[in-house]
Amino acid sequence: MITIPRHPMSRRTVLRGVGATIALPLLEAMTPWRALAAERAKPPIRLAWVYVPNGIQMKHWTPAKEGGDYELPDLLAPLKDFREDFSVLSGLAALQGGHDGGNHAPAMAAFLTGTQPRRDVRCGVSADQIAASKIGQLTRLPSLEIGSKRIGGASCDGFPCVVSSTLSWPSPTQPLPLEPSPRAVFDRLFGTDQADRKKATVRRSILDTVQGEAASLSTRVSSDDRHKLDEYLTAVRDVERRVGRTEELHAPKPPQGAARPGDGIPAEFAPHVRLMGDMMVLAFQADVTRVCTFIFEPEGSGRSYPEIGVKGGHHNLSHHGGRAETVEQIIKIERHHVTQFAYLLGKLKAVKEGDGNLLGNCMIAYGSGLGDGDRHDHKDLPILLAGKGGGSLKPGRHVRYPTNTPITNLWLSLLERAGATTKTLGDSTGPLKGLD
Amino acid sequence: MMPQKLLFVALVAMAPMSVRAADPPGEKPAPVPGAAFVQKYCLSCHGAEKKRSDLDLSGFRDEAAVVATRKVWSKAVRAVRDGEMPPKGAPQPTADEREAFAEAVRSAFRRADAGKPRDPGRVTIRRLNRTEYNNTIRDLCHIEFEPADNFPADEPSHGFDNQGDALSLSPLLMERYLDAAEVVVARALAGKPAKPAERVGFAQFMVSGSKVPYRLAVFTSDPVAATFRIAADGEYLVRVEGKPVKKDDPAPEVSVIVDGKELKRVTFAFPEKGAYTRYEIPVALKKGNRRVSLRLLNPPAELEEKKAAYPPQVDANRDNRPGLELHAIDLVGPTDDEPESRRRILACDPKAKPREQAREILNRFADRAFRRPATAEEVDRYLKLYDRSLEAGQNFEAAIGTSLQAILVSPNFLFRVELDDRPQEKGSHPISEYQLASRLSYFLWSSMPDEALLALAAKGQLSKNLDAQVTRMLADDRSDALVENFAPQWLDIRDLARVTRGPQLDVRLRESMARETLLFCDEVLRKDRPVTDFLDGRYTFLNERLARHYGLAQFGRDKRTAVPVPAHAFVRVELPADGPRAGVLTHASVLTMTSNPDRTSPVKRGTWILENVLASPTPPPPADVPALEQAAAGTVKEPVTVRGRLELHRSKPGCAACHAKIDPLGFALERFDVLGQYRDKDGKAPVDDAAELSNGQKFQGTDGLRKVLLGKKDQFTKCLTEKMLTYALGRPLGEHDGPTVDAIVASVAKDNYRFQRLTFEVVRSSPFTMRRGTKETPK
Repeated sequence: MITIPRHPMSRRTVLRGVGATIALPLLEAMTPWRALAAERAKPPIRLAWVYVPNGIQMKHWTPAKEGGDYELPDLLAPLKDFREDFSVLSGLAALQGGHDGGNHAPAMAAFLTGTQPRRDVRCGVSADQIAASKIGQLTRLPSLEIGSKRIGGASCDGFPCVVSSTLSWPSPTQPLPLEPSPRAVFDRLFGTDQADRKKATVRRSILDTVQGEAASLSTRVSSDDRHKLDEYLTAVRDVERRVGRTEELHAPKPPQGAARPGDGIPAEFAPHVRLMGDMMVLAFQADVTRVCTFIFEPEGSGRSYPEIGVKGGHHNLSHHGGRAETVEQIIKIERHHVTQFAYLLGKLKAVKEGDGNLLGNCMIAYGSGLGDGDRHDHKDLPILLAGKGGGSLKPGRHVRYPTNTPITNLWLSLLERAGATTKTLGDSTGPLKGLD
Repeated sequence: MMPQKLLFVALVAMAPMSVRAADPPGEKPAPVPGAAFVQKYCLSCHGAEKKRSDLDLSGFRDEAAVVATRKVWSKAVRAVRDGEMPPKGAPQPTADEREAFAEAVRSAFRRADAGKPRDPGRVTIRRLNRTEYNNTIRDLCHIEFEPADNFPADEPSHGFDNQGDALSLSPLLMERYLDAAEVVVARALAGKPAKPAERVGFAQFMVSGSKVPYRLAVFTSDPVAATFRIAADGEYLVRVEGKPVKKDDPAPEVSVIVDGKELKRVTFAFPEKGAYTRYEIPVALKKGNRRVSLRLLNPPAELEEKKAAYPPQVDANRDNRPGLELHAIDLVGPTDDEPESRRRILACDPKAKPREQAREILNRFADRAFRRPATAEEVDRYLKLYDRSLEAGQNFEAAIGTSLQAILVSPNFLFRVELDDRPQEKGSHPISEYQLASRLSYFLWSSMPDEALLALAAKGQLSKNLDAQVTRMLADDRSDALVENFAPQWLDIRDLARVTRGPQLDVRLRESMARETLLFCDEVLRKDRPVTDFLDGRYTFLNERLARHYGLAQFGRDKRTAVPVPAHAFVRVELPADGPRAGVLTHASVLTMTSNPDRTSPVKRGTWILENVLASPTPPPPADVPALEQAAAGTVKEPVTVRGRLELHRSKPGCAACHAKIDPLGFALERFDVLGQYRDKDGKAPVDDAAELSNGQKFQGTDGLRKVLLGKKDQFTKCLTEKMLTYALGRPLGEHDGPTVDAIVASVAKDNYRFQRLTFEVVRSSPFTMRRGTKETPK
């Protein structure tokens, strides 16, 4: 007797493709500020952080002169049209990013928290999440976390990979995942459906019920487990808050001309990051959120960029040992990143808002938690600060701060301007002066 | 997996103090084990004066102090036993001295552990990860649907994506859970099958190498069979198509047999219209693997006499021998109106009042969703929600649906909660039977326990029948999950689908690479091969694409080693004994993942071996590594090859300690390029795959490396044990797990290193079956 297999080995379901996409929930939000408070209202201030990994070739980044009439170094050349829209801040440091075992993961985790992470996923609350907790209730989404995900084989420095895949920590034990799909971000911002109050009612009653269960469970578990249930309860309340608003308010309409992106994630870096940048601009423009972290690439990224003639992986190239041709390669990557940042600034500037433009009401920090990637150091970080912060910032300058000034001081200053004042943040020593 | 980096300073500084405090007065403490050895070989560098690598072995007063800093001493023992220490150039102990030192320290540990109950450690409540969520939904709701595919990714921790501490729950994920629950319930309660009856399987008459798999000529009474896997009980149609080979032949009479029982006899007359005569025969089938076979009842006598000479032929009956030309065996369905999911979820006493029906339905669903009997309080909560939904105007079914959605987003479903059922008990004690059922099913199936496990747990019989259940579960198809989830994460090849290595690495090649490794691991599990096969198994699984990639196809470059491989299917291939490939180390998947995009990386490959084969991870590079340019400025002409640069690198004291361990292992694999293809030249230079371990042992190439690794097979077994235990427990291992790991390794070694023995031992181990007492303070 011969047996014919149905299909050899077919029960092995390996490397599944992208599966079915399910509809996103219907989410509505508060009316955008402009509809609420008529034209007299002052536009709100938006805060964003854009992160690039593996440090920067500082010789090609830091201007020689301080003040307004510095000469643009070659890495900043792509930003020449925006000279008056950003400042270069030198001398800031994220010293908590150093760790005796691995430097990439902590560099990223410490960047907005000023806290050295632990291997069991404990860190500190991040600047963006402080903003989210203080001004997030004014918008539909308290904050937005977007960017690229880690690709392949990286060991994440012996830390759980989540430590080097996000900047955002709403609590010391909860790193927030980022969303890499442009379409998913769009749907989160604007919903896929039009108003459906019935559904919102059902959701609310479901959330009510499970909250009761979690609370009763919470009294019966150990303290470590309670952390996890607290996470659950926080998430439930967060969603509940949004669902609650659905019943009261209209969903924000996507700004005119905004199209829902196609499914999937572009394989090349620039098209992906530009699409994600578009989403951030839409979110700010429609006032769906005022706080965003945008990870161009996660820390320690080994991505290669064959489309611009760079075959080596980014992280590898960053340990160039001073070899000229390797440095040349990594500079290509760094300039490529800055070019995408220039695109983002251009988009923000093109949106009219109040008497000026959207960029004028933003504060956007661009930079890395590593300075010299070859040495793994966390001093003299590459930091740009773009936008006028609604008139509270004076861009267009190169400002040098004393060596080892905690970068968290900068975040304190930005939070203050955004109406999310906090006294301390990780290793901060007080707000940074000289920004206005 | 032990934590990678030891805090030498802190441990060494703290230990003697705490020991002094603990010394019982008047009793003479046992001396430091191996004190003479340490004095003779270690203290000149690791003494109070130099404290090389921040390690000071001089401050220890007695055995208790050594035991209290077990981590430090375990590492010292390993370094001495492996010949890493003392370093080259320093006076070397003999092999016996090394072993005696190791034994002295280990027996001190054993003395300290004797009589103490093993600490089973503690597991944080675990959220279902994406895979577990998908599988659990499949088994709980009886639907084939994978809603978790657009959940945010679960970040791996300690190498695996099922670790309680790292599985967090963000608002974004909560949104997705709500969406998923809505869609799942809608699908599960859908009145009609979501899609029209669909084929669950199709017999293609594939014979290796054949291109046109359509027609099969059958000449004798030997049956032809096709196997189908069906997901649900129900009504199906067996569809068969055929005709006589020639118009004038007698019409073949055929017995249609399902699972050994004749279903019907049919006659394939020559079709008047169309190409074939078709029969559709209804049959009720249970879910699982079903075999449909056809037996020719009136074979031509002259062919039947010499059966063996006339096997079925695919598309090649050029002689036009009389017989049956078979076109298809199909199974179509299920044809029932009411899908299984709906029928099973909504089953209830038809005579009861609606609210009692609702209670019955919700109670049963919650029991299964929570993987233990739901409490009355819990059921009431969902029943109240049902009441509220009715008040809000929903009908019976919609209200039930709302409560089902709530169950699917409740913490008792999304988390594996293990409440202590004996909180008064002080010491460690067994977890509950239901908890054990879940630990088993999520370990072996990445899914919820099935009826059999839950039934045993209900009777309190599961812990008494562990071995039988593991045997049963491994034989079940769902245990594919163990291979699919454990193996790629252990071997760190999960991201193969996402790396970029130029156009040559196309989708097909990536998939083929990953599949090879999975099938290999599957073979080791199913055939219960020794774990050493991972290092030296001279067999693998190839399709044509991969065979070509390896230069092993018939038309490959090297005719001598050519093997026949079919175009599309994967087949098991015995590898030539004198070839370079054996075991997973030479799989293209592993070799690709451990390369840089543009060149091979002996450092990555070496690190991979240390981490995944030898359980001896090295710490990441220290902060403020001096740049090579400064270190080498003006003194050495910069070497061009990767190897040359690494040699230079290793001449720096700051780098040497680790890279002397890492690099040689990687050098031995230099004959494989960034995509795992064999090469003799690296650019223009000939490949140099000679290497020397830090203890001076020289070896060359993959053969040499294999011998080195096979010489450490207990260490490899330990590595695999640690990985599997981490995966099974969902938590990182700690010092207190050391004795468990050692015991498992010993048992596996005794059973000829068989893989299934490892699985059984993990399941029986105390961390898997026990819990700390609620009142116990963590150590």
